[in-house]
Amino acid sequence: MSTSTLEFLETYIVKSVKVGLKRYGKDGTFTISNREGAENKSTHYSDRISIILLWSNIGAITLKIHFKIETAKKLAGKIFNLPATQIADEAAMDFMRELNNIVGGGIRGDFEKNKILVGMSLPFVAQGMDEAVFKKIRDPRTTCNVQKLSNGEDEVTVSTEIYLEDAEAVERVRETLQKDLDARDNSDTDNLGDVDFF
Amino acid sequence: MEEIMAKIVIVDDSETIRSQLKQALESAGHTVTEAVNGNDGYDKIVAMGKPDLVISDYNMPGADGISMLAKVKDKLGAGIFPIFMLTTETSESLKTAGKEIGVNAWINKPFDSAKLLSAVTKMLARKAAS
Repeated sequence: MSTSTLEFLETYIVKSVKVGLKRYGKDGTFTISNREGAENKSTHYSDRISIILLWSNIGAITLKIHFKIETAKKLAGKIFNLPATQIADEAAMDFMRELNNIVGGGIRGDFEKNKILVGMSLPFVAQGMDEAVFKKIRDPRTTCNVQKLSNGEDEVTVSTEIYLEDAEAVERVRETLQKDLDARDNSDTDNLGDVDFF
Repeated sequence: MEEIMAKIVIVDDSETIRSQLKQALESAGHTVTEAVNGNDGYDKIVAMGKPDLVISDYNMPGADGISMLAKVKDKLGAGIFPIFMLTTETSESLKTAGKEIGVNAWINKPFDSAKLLSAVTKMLARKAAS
């Protein structure tokens, strides 16, 4: 088992959330950094968690975006050109649910272009204190990662748990996964939502 | 191109996406009916009888978009209104399944309002000319 395969996936997933915030959330200013204190069980980052599950015959991913409702209101406000004060809690949570849906859909699409079929849950938001602290990992096929996306005043925490049954399958498509994600990141948002007429 | 005002049903479980769509479509003068999932979509489309256009998500609680539209097709017949799928799904097999039940265009989320409106106008003009 190559640790670097798991590390690659961790980075690829966190960057996918950054790209999701840029393309869907219309905010390209978020930067990725390590989340300090992830090992500290008393550390709380947020009060809501948007969760999505992805699985295939080569492994499975749990992707969680931890956020404060005030941050979600600001982010949702940007896409409606409204101040955060005019965004209801439910609308803000729905925005974070859909953000995870779009991030998960992008990850699944990248894998499916490489002939790896991926199942995806509906996204859901849980309320309650953050629990981005994982159990101690003893299985070398599993990794947990916690990182922060921030743009100065706003931040969300991204935590992933990855179980990888077939690292070689990921290694075979690693370059194209990275290339596709970079293309989404670097592309002008003008190419959003291209219409494919049948 | 002459503007055609249309009755459009949007089916998506995300309130954010529905709001974005509604805002864009109503700003162009269209009348929008919202449905919050596949089952609600089926009920609203059948109740309306013949909307001018349906824009539907795929992944939703209850019935997914394609199953819902297949059920509508069984009830109302094929090809009586144009259909856009608006989804994170990119799978070719799903696109094929969509084509089989009469989907006219596939749009990946996140979407751009101007492009969507342009596609709606084009589709409605095509429908009016046929």
